[in-house]
Amino acid sequence: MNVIETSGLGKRYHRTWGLRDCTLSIPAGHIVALVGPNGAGKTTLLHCSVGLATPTTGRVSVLGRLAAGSLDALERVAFVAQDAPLHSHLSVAAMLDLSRDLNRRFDLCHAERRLRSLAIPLHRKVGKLSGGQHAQLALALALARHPDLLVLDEPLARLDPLARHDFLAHVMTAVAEEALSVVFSSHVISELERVADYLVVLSAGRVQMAGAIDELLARHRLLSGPAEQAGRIGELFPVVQAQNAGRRAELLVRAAGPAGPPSGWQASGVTLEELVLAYLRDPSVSALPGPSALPGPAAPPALPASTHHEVTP
Amino acid sequence: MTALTATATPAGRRHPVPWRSMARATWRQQRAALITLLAVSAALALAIVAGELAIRALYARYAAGCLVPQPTDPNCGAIANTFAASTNGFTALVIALHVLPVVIGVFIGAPLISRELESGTFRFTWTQEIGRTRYVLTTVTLLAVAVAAVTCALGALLGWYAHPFDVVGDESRWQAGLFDTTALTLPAWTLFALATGTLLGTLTGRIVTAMATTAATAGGFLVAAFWTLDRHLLSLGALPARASAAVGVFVGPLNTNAGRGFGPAGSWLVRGWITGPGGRELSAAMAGAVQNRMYAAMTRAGKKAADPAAWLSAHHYALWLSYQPAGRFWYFQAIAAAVLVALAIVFALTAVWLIRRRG
Amino acid sequence: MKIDKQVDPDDSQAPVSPLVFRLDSHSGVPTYLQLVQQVEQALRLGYLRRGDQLPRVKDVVASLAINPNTVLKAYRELEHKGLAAGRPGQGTFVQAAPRAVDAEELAALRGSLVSGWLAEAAAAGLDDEAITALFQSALRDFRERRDTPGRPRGRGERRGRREAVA
Repeated sequence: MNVIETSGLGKRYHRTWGLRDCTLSIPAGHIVALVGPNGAGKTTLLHCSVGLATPTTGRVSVLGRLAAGSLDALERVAFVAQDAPLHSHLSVAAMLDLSRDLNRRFDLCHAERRLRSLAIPLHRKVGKLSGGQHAQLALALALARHPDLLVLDEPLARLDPLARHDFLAHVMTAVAEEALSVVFSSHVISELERVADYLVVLSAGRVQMAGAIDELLARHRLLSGPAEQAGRIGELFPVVQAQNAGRRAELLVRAAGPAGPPSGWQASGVTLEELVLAYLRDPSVSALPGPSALPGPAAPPALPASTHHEVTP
Repeated sequence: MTALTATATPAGRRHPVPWRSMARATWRQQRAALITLLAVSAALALAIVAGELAIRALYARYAAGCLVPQPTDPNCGAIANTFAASTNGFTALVIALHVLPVVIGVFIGAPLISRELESGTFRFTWTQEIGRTRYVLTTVTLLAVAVAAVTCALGALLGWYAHPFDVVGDESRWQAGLFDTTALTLPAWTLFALATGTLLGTLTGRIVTAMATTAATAGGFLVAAFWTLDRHLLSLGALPARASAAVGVFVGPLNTNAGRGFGPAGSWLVRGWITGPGGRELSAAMAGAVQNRMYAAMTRAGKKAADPAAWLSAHHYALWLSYQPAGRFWYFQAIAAAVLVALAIVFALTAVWLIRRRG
Repeated sequence: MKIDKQVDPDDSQAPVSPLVFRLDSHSGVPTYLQLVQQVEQALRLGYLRRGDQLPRVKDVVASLAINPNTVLKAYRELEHKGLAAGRPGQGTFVQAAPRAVDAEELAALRGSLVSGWLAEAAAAGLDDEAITALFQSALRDFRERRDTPGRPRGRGERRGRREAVA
């Protein structure tokens, strides 16, 4: 089952397209990081997935075949928006009661237990909580619904390092206990590798790359060798990023299979951060999952649109 | 992962509206406004009761001796004057009850949606299980029932307090002040203001703008009703009748209650006119000319001999008026209330439609 | 402000594992491998004995804020190496310790190292630091090739190799 599946999804706000030609099949059971610079369309994509935005073109469905934003989808998807908006004039306890009244499936004891273990007082007004406590409350409210999919929009953006750690620990514990899927967006890449196992890279409203992180890392190599042979490498593999330092060139290429590097060249793996940055630097480059989407040796770095394909669940 | 429950029941039956939960949720979110409303309403109710108690003894005397055509109590005139003098408190309460629907629209209706839009909490509320449509519909419905109940009670109380004034003749239930604040029209105006606030809040998305535009719109409409709209409503289908000129010759728009022997008892007088020898209505200019001639003649004849009725019939003029009989009062109440409630429903449903489309 | 931290009632009956994991995000070593290495080190030093329970996935994840799948991957690796075994519904338990090397074998290895490789390296003109660097990078390569055949090396290891080549 795919937790989020989009087909040609596009969203236009007045004149500008926040999202274009977005086709994704995100499988269940993963912790998915949605990365990209500010304005890339992350929030737009997440809002389309939870029914806060209606697509201008294309379709989006969640948890298999459920229409995003439908009552069936709302039952099983929990969302925490950017800055975790909550009623600031209500107390924490009132916020819990309100959530219980708005949801049929709400585990009040679970939420209270979690808040108690975080030392968040139930009688304090939500507006008086610290940033970290506020985010934890929003997360506790979402998780108390025992959703099948948890969607978080830049949950760590305003949190200090300790609050970030506690927040992620809270999410990971829930995943360990309940096997739920998580999709979260971030514009900070460095902390992702510990937490996420699936990655979607958005840039300027389009999907550049999507896939399981292990697979993505395995399918890319960093080749370093004599600069004059760089062209030959470019004919053998699709080049994502090329850096020339005088006599030596470093090329980040897409290459599947365990075959060694060409003679005179050294191959090594890439880190997730290097990979994402390389793609973000060149928005015309894209890579999508699936063996048929992988280009042949003579393909140029930018994939033509026709290699997009839908994974039918 | 929970399996997809593929049932054949339609979405409506699988997601019934949880009225009790929504009532709790609405109370929790609107608690401050609703408690203030209750407090204000209780204060107004107490003021009304206090006012009624103050005039109760006086009215008892009037009712005992002054309502028959041949009054038995020689002080009827003095009692009537006392009533006239004590209308200040009464007027203040009538004004307060006029303002109340606008206040409810501004402080409960306008922030209802706009606060969520402005603060961003709609991103929380509209992604809860209940869904935005049922959430907004039930919230608005519950609030509508609450404010309608409170204002209906206040309107009924005011009507009970106003009855003596109506009988004595100082204030008429037909007049705009009381016409718009009965047990039917006060809740209707309140629902109208609430729905206006809700719609404007949805359209503007900002609390202060919504409050200001709601005050202007609902308040403006209420003022328009007070000054002209009510009068226009009451002129529809008015019945003609001969009028006695003994009290006076009144021509043109009257828009007043019948009293002191002019017009059928308890009716609302719309306008008066004079017909000429051929039975045709005289234009305003000609009627004015006739009146001038009559007054000139009566001045010459002297005060004691002045008899407008005799003069008119001698010159083959007849005085007419159009009126709404007393029995039609509640029909007009129902029409006014129905128009307001229909507008309220249209506004509220428009707001819901806009909310569904948003995003 | 009085902070009243209450223990989660679910945890009150759980045994505490003697091992606490640490994570070095900048070492270049994959997270799951770090966990595996820490378990092996604990076994070697005697902190963990046969029958001890490895930390529960939930607890590791709560203290380190890492993906549960990573912990599961580490525990699967340990099972693959025969060091641990999972009991359904109970957790993962230590099964065997790494083979201890006896003293005679150690002495023989030491001797061959001093008179053989170290002598050659010194004769070639390498100083102590160069010898240490060369040895560490060769050890890493050796381990890599043995553990995951065909997997390309990461940045940290690359740096070591380049030093060795230069």
